Amino acid sequence: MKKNGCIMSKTIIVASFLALVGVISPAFELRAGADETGSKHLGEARSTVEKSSLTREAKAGLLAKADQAVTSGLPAEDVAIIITRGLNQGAPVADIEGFLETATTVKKRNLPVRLVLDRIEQGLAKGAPAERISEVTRKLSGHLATAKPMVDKIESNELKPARSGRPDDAIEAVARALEKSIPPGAIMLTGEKVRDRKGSLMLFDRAVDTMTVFVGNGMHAEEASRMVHSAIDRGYSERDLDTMERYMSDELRKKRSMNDVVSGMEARMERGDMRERHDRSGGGMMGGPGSDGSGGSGSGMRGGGGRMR
Amino acid sequence: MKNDKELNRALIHKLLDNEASSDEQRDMMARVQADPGLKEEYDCLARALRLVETSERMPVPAFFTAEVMRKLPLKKVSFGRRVWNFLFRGRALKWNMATALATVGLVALVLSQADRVRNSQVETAVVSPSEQTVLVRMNFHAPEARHVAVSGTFNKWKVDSNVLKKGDDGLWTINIPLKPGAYTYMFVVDGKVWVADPNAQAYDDDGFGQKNSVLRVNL
Amino acid sequence: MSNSTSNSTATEEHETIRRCLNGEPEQYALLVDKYKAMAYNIAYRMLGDADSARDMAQESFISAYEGLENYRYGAKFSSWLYRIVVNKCKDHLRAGRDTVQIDDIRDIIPDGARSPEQAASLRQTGDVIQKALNSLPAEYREVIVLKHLEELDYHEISDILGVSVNTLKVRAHRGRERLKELLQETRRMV
Repeated sequence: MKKNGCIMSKTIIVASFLALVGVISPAFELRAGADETGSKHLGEARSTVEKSSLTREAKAGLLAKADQAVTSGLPAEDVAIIITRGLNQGAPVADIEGFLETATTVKKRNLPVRLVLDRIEQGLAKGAPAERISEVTRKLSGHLATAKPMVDKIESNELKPARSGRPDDAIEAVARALEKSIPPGAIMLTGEKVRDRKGSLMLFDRAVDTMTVFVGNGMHAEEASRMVHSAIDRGYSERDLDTMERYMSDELRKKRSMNDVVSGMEARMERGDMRERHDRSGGGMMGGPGSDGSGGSGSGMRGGGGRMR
Repeated sequence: MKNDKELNRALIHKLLDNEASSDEQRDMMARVQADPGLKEEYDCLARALRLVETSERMPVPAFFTAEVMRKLPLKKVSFGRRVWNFLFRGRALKWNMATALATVGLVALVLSQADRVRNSQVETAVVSPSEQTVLVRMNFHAPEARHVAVSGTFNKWKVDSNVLKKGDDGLWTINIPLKPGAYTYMFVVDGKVWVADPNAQAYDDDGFGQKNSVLRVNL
Repeated sequence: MSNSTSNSTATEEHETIRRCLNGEPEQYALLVDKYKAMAYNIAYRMLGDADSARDMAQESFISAYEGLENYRYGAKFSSWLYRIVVNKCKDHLRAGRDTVQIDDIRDIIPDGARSPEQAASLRQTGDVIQKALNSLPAEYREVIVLKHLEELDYHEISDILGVSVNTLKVRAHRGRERLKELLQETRRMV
């Protein structure tokens, strides 16, 4: 493995840059810049629509849907990406309009829309059939609508306020779990267990995320719930949940069956081998300067935190 | 006879330790050729050792170093030493032309705006932890590929905005600054083949029949 | 490696250690990257199990870091680290955790004589040599691993294990004889 001798060990340069930008931002007038960027994206999308072989009516309809989407608060760049990618992929106009409409509806209902936009953009980028993308995003918006009152209830149960966890993250995490057919009861029970351990909303959405990752890799929903609930009962942190995920991936890479993975995980949890050895919070250290493992990514990362899209 | 046997054995092991002199080696070889029993003993020992010496070297598990670093205990360093290190510690920076030009442009802009800044109310932006980024390196081994990009939630699944650079050994790499959070991604090879990272922390079904790689970034 | 090269490597390492101790703990990653392959492979060959090997190797690096203040700049960091690895592995074995002792010599099957089922089984449980190593007493195993797998000389092994060169040679000889016997027996059985 070649070692890259020239690395940036910490993002102080980036932070300094951000601080410097902040100092001169009144003169910089960034807000105007952001609107200009949005206009630029829409301009590009408009140009793509105009150059397409759609009928005049179809073009007008699509552009009207785009304007509606942006007016409702959807980011211009995402609207432009959906239109451009959709047309380039040859998706029917009705489907492209459907994507925009689904996202607009989600936004108007005050639900977190980032997940839906990401799913549409991902499906289009990967060349998935338009009807499949429509089906996935329609179901996802339904799950988001179901997730919101669940998270409201969990939040109202005196969950410790997270230092940076937001309800939107938790709603997205629950929606993704519902997408994987994890029963709502199991999700609510996760909330209760986190509350009993005096955990935060961030720990809750991370725990739900882990259940989702387990199921996404072939674990049965009941087993995934059991493993995560057991972890919460044992006082596991977000990083400990990370360790569990990594254990599962490593074992699956070795071609172990999921049954063996589950047994192995349970045994390690019993022995206390799944926990982080030192619970370190705050900054100060990151992963090694060389890339870790051969042929794979992973340098400079630490576990814990964040929820998935 | 017994002494002879022990002597032979000692000499064989000296040979296997690469410590026998040339005379001893010649002597031993002659004995081995003359005595079938001794030859078999030597061959068996040499074979056993060859099996050991040529056995597979086990690949180190992925993220080994990152896990060690994460588990290290915090060492107490005096405040004075921390300040000294922050100010005077040598740093390795990687520059490209775009970054250099952007920096020159920024300096020029600052100088041109100097008067306005002096007269206006200056608000110092406090960079919160959620705005800090971590430089994440991604690698992908594909000696036959002509073009490799990474596409994921951090770049709205664009297939051309984060292109990896190919090394001589067929390892493609890229460094991406990412805010703390969780991301899903795949590599796109030659513009059309989507591949999950073989050494990802975790995987997740994307809902379209493929598996995304999962990346969690923390400060 | 020439003397000047090894001297400059030692100087670089000492500089890295000095920086670790002076508030730059992230420099330790350089040492981990450099020696992780050897540490892991020693642990793997001592324990015969990938998970335990990873855990012991990582714990060894952590212990070495914790004891960095006591590190003597005249000694080789690698020897010091490997001593920690070997000792941790021996403690692990003594505690009876994850021991892979062979009760039935027929578990060892040489190349070419495996049925697909046997081959599959071997892939799951480790290779031929690992099985044989696992059946050696720990003090023979450690010398065989360090001498013939990691290709260290007896003087360095003596530094690592704290045992005289003559004793090491005796253990190496006996370890080889035992390995030879194990492999001969399996050939007769097939």
